[in-house]
Amino acid sequence: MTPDALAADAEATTIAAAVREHRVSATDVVGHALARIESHDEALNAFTAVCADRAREAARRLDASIARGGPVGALAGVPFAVKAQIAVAGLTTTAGSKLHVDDPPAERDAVAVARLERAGAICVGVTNMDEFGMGGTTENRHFGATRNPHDLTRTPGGSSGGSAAAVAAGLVPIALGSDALGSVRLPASLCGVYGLRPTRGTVPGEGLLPPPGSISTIGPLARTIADLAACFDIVANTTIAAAAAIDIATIRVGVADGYFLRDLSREGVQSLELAANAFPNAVAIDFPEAARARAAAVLVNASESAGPQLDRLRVRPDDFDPLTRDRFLAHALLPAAWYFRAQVFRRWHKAAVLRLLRECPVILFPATPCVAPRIGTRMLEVDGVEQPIGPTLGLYTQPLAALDCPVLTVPVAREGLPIGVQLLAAPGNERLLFAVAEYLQQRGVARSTMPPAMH
Amino acid sequence: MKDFDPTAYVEAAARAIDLELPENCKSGLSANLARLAAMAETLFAFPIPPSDARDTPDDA
Repeated sequence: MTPDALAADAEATTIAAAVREHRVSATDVVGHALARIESHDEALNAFTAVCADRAREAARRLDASIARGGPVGALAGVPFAVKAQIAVAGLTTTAGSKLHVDDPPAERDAVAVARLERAGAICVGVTNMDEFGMGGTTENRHFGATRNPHDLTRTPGGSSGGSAAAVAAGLVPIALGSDALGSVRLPASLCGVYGLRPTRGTVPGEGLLPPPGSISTIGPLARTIADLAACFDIVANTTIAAAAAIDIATIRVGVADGYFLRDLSREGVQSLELAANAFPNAVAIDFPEAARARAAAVLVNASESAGPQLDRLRVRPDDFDPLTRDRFLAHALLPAAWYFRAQVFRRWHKAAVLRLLRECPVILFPATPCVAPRIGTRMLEVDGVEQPIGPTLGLYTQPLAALDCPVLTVPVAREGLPIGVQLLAAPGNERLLFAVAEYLQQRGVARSTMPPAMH
Repeated sequence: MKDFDPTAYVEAAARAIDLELPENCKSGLSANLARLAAMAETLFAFPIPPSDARDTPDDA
């Protein structure tokens, strides 16, 4: 009988307990993960690099340490994956771009990666992404398209699509992504997993390529809320997982309408209603100026993302994906007055939302306008107008991106392709988000289901 | 920004930062800028109270 820790859908917390209690070795866990990657990733293309030797050596060292009675970290033996723009020592940080494939390997882990490894987790590889995070579908011109484990003809979303697909397919129980305008939350929705955009500043951005501006943050993905909380506690150096329970029945939950319902598909409405109906104190709320908030987040991120690319745009424009190149060029030429106006609006909007959160400590939103589109789709219809697919999939994630608040995508249990919902709380209140998600999970409303083909 | 001409702006702005634009990018570049201009216009049209009109968000 296969130990639980070696099951296809083994949770990180289960694995760590089994390793800690000597019921399974880290070597066996990592070997099992690498075998599953070898078995399934040709179809998924979630990984751009698998560091098998590095992972086996780390597992061997951990097992030896445990045998000697050494300290056992909270995530001992847990395999994890890292988005290709987050540094892993000994591996090249490509950020999904041809421009970086010949760079020397990273000398140091990103801080978030180092923290996971100090907790005993073992990196098994880096995952595919849209080039420099500029996209919402993980269809990478250089590294190929990642496929959604729930339907291989469809996109996993992006730009952290590889991480989301690897978790959804049970190749790893936890992964790191990064989220500026929705790049953790969007693929989490389309792949049916949990994904957290943490409070700005809680997870160190050192080791992210390019360096984060004022919008982007590293965030974890997982198939259970317990695993997500465990991973977040390590990378953010918090102790939320051990915090006392919160009585959700007393919490007023706002359900955003207006802008957030206008272009929402039938499946998205169903997910939103399933989640909203689970709360005894849910109330419809008017989220202020969502379209303008989206505009402000896009403009701030655009302007800040262009700076690191300008020199490469001068000397190697043809090594960019043409769509990415044209976007970066536009971003590099943005009038400074647009950027400053966006920041001024951002300040006003954040204050307005924080006032709203004092009345409704949690606000529920849809995560994506639709389920995963087919790979190769270029345009989506919004408000009767065809729009480019990448930014349009972020219709509901982008208005929340510049608030500095934590936002959690929760997978909703329903038939058909996954489509999640988002939960927003005040800065620093990840604990409330995890408690609300746990409440939904306990009631069977939130659930991440591994596709049968991945077992 | 009804008089904003992205094509004309792009040429002048690129010269201002000594950026040579490949011919095959100009169409996509202008389209992206036009989309961003429409977003910026919505923000300029929004009346922000003078007390909130500082250009950096709080760090707290």
